[in-house]
Amino acid sequence: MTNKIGILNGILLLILNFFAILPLGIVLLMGLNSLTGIPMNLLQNGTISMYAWGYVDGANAYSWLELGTTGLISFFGIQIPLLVSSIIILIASSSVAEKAHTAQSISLILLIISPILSIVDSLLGGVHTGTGAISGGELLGAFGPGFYLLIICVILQIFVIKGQGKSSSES
Amino acid sequence: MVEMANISNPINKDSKKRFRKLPLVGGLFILYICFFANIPLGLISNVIPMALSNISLNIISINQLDYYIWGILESGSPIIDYSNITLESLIPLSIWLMALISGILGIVGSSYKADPKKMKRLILIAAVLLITDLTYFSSLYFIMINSLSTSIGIGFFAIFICLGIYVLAATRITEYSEK
Repeated sequence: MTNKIGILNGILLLILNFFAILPLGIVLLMGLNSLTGIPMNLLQNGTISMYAWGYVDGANAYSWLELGTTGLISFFGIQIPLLVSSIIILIASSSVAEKAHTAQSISLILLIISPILSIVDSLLGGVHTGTGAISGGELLGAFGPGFYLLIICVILQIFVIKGQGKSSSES
Repeated sequence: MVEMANISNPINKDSKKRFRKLPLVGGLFILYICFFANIPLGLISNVIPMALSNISLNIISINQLDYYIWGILESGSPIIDYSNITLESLIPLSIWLMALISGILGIVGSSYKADPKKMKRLILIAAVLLITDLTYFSSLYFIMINSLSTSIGIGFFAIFICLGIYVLAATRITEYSEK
């Protein structure tokens, strides 16, 4: 059961890393299209939506790597920890080695880095998240569905680590 | 000494069977209904795949509104927006989540090598979630049946079939006894 949750967790994180919306109502109409979807933005401030891979300002989308030094910091602080964490979770969930438990714990730490850095940066001016300054009172309203999905992934990862710790102590 | 009561519950961990077919099929079908609007028919592909026709997976139709498990369409355009979680969007979102969890539980519960009691419990939970969804849509249908033009879609029967698959899969998992 633990490995299955870990694999599910890894897939959810990969979706968060690369998708702008979770497509729903998929149709085959001149290629693959979706009629609606759940947006995967982590933060939202006015017309600016911040994702794990960049941000969208109205009609323009920017990935972190297009934004110079500021973007590089965002890339290594927000996107890379999530990406590395998802890969580690997927590999460790398919493995029965003893080191898999340590790897899962490391991925949990990496998983927590992105949301904390995003929140801190948006409270301090939002330069690296691209959202601009968000006050403490507005922060709860600024969280997007992607942020709540990230929290779910963190909770799932805690269960994965607990389950993997139990099974290794039993063996 | 543990005895095998039913061929659906192999205790031999080296058995080549990996998945129980029924809950796996049920789970995959429910996941398909959760994400897709229709079943494409008459696929042609020069460069980009296209469907000439399709079977729509709407659950019910009330007036001009098509209710799917993932949202509501009015003449082809969605009228529920998930970008802001409001009370209006919370109910269809929770219906969708229940169907999604049901599909995942069906797939997880199809494992042969895990404890059959736990797998049976997972499949029954998945069935209960589907019953909740069907109850919601049936209530909508019966409330609106006299006032507006209503019809049941293929999606309703598809979910009903998945529910039957889950119930059948759960009854085939019998508990084995220990001596």
